[in-house]
Amino acid sequence: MSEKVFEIAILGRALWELHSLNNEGNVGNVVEPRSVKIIDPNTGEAVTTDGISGEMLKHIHSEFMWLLDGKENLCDACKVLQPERFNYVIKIGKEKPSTVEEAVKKALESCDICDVHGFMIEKPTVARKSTIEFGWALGIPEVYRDIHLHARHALGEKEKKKNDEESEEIRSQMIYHRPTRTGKYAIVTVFQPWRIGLNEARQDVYSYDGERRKERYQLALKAYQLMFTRPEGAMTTTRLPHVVDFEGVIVYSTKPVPVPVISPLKEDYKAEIKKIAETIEGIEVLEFKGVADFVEKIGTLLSKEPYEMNFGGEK
Amino acid sequence: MKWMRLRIHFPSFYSYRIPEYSSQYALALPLIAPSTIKLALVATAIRMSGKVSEGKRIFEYVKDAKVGIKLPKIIVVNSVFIKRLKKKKDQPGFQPSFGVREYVHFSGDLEVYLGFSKIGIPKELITYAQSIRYLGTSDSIVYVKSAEWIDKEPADAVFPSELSKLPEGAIIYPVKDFAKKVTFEQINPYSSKKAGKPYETKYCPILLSKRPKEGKNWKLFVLS
Ligand SMILES: [Zn+2]
Repeated sequence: MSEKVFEIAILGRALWELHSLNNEGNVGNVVEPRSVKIIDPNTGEAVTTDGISGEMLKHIHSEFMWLLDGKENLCDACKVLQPERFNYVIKIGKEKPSTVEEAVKKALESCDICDVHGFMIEKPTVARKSTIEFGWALGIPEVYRDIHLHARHALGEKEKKKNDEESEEIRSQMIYHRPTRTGKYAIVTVFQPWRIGLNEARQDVYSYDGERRKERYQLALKAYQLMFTRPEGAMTTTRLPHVVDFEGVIVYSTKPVPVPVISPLKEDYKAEIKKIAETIEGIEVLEFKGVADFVEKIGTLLSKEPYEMNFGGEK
Repeated sequence: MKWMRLRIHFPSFYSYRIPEYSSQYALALPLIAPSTIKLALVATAIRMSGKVSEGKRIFEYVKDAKVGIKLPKIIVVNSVFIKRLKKKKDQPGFQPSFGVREYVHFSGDLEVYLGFSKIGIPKELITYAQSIRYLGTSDSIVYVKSAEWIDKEPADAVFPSELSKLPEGAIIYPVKDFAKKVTFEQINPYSSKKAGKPYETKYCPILLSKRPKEGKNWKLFVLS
C-alpha cells in the first residue's frame, strides 16, 4: 500500500518577468497594476509591492485542471467553465436535489472541478469549501514595475487614410498604458487531498470510491505542475510571463496533521519549516530548486493516495 | 481560570469582514474576534472527528470562554478593488459585480488566549486548536504554530469589553462574541432551529503609539 497524503502545501519564491497577471483595473486608458502594502518580515519596514490575488491563482489552477480533464467527469457548468459551477446545473433543472446532503453528493459525484475547487448552491443553500486554497502571492521587495505606452490603430484604417484628413487619422489612433512587472513572488498554497469526495453536509461520508478520489488528486497535482511551468492569467495574450525560476518546499503530511505554512517572504522560511517538520511526526519536506525540479518533486506525490479518514460515524 | 495560548501565523494576507458592514464594501477587522476563534474550534472538531456531536461537545466548553489577543507591533490594511459574483436580486443565479475588500498584513505572529472557567476541559481541544486551517475568508490561510496551556492570566493581552469601559484614545473595533444563552443549534448552519440572537457585540481597543499613516489604498498602524 502506498503512502497516504493528508495535506500538501507548496511554499516558494517564483521569479516571473515581464508579466501582468493581476491588475487593479482601468482608470481611463491606463491599466493600474495591483499594489499592496506589506511589512517586510526581514527588515520590519512597511513597503509597497506587487500582489497577485489568491482568487487569480486559484482561477489559473482550475483552468489547468479543466484543460487536463477528459471532460466526461465535469458537470455541465464546468464543461464550459461556467463560474457558477454546480449551482448552474440545478438552476437549469438538470438536477433537483431536495436536501443539502443530496445536493453536495450529486455535485461531488459528477464533477472533478466542483469537488476540488468548491462551489456554492442557492437552493438548497449549501457551500462546499475548496480543497485547494491560495493566499495572495506577494512581491518580495523589490518588484520592478514599468508602465508602457502603446498606440493602437483602428481596423480598416489604411483604407480610410486615403480619403480622410490627417487630423482624422490622429483621432483614430488610441494611446493606452499597460503595466509589466518583474520580480520574485512569495507563493502560498494548501491542498487537502483528505477532503476530496468528502460530503461535508454529512461530515462523515465520502461520496464515491477510492479510484475516483485518486484520479482527482492526481489531476489537481498535475494542474499545479502546469501552473508554475506556464502561469496564465490576465493579459497573457501579450504579456505571457517569462517563467525564470521557482524554488521552495513542498510539505506534506501522511497523518491527519496540518502541514506547516510559513510565509516565503521570510528569508529563513525553509529552515523554519524543516525545524517544525522535525518535531512533528508524519510531516515530510521536499525541497525544490527550479521549475523542472518542482515538476519532478510534485511527480513523486502522484503515486501516493489521498488520505481517507475513518470516521466510524455517530454513535 | 485555565488559559490556552495559540501562536498564529498568517503566511499571506488575512481578511475578515467587520460585523454588520456590507459585503460590497468589506472593511477588515485587523484582529481576530472571539466568535471567529470559537467557531473555528467547533468547526475543526467536527471536521477532524466527522461527528457533529463532537462539535457540540466542544461548543459547550468554548462558548463562554474569555478571548484575549496580543497583536504584532505593525499592521497594514490594504483596500483592494475586486470583481466578484453576487446573487441576483429576486431571481435565481449570480451576476458579475465588483466590490472592495480589505486585506491585512501583520508584522509578526499573533497570540490568542482563551480562558476557561469550566473544569474537565477535553484534552482534544489542543489538537483541534492546532488543526485550525482558516480564520476569515478562505484565502486567509493560517498556521497555528503552537497551542499550549499556560498558568498565568495573560497580562499584556487585549480583551474586548463594553463601550463604556474602553481606554481613551484607542481605535475601537466592534467584534462578535457568543451571547450568554447561545445554543449549538443557533450556530449550526445546517440546523433548522436557528432562531434568536446567538451573538452579541463587544468592542476591542487598539492602542497606537502614533497616528496611523495612510496612502491611497492602505493604512498603517503602529501599536504601542
Ligand atoms: Zn462542476
